[in-house]
Amino acid sequence: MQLNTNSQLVCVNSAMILIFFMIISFVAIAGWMPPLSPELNADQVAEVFRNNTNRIRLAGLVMTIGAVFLWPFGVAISEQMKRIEGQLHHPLANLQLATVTLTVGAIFLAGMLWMLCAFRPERAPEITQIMSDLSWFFFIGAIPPAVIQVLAIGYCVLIDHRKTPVMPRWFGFCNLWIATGFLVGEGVFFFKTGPFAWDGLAAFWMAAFFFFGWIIVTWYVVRQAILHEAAEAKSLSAQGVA
Amino acid sequence: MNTASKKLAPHISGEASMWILLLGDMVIYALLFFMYGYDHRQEAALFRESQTTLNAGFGFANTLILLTSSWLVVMGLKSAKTNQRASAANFFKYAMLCGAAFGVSKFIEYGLKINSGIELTDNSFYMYYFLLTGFHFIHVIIGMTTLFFMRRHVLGENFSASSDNSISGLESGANFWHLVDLLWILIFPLLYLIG
Repeated sequence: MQLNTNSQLVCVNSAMILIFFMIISFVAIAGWMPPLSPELNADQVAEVFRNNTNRIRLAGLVMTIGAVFLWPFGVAISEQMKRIEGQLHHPLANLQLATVTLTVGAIFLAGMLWMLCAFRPERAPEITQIMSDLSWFFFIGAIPPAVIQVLAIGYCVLIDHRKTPVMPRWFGFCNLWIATGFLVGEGVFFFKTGPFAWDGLAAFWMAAFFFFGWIIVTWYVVRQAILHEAAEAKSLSAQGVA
Repeated sequence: MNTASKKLAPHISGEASMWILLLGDMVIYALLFFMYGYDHRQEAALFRESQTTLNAGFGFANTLILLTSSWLVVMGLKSAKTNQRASAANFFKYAMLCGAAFGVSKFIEYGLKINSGIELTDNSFYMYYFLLTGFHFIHVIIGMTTLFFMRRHVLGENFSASSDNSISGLESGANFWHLVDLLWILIFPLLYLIG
């Protein structure tokens, strides 16, 4: 059977490119650590985009480029999930891929909106403010698809009853835990201050920890699964079975 | 594995790797409690004043309901281990009903608060009140779903009291329910009592 190990590895390793671009865009270029405060009024928000016009345009561009690297990573996860579910029907793998697409879109749109805010920064401040708000809603608050995504992965890992599972069972429970961690970010639509606002301890710092933590753990586990699959195929063909 | 070595081996309740979820969830709640404690110190008067609008009776009733449900789950597990499947299923069902009673009481409590004009965004105390109890309520719903599947498993043909898999699966589910109970036991005094 053709495993396409190298293509799978390219896909899973794109997670590292995603992290690299996101950090470069958000921390190094835009310097949004922490993010723009939701408490700023329209004039103050417009001021930020007027004073940092090209920096924010570039940060937005780098973010949109980074966002698309989440796609191949999602594909790599689904490919390994299909080993658990079977080649003909693999609803959880498909669900995972469908939901990751929305997360790609949310990060991509946040980058687009930052570029839009900074495109004509001299416009009426309220217009910039509403687009800026929307960008943070996408960037921090667009969580439901990611919750379904990690639940699909967790469930899939836990129904794997072969002797040596494709992915370890702790990884399944870890995904369920991360689902609960993501939920804490859903307060951003209600608060402008405190831990549940989009620059707060729970909604920003904890959510960032869970998001990047999830990527790193998943990258490691899926990469191991790909390598095991390849090693297994190699030992089988050495025995003349394949 | 023979019975002698089985007895000597340390027993971890439920599936070992499930503790990543149980302990992880406790860590999230510990952080939320820490944030609550910090804000409580910042605005002590406001917190104390807002706290008087809560009805500790509801909190106390909920504590009793959940403690009872945890006891029912323990009894259910005991019955399952001795292969009394029907009684195990009943215990799990009653525990589920306790969860439902908790839900009804929560809805009444939220309803009374909202009717008296109290909202999530009024001040930081009510933010914590609604969010901490709300996140916990999500746990109750997930726990009830778990109990439903535990009951189904105990009645189903794949169940065997001598199978490690069956018992360990039930223990994992039971542990989750105990987590739901434990979190409430921490939330209740923190929000309703300690001023």
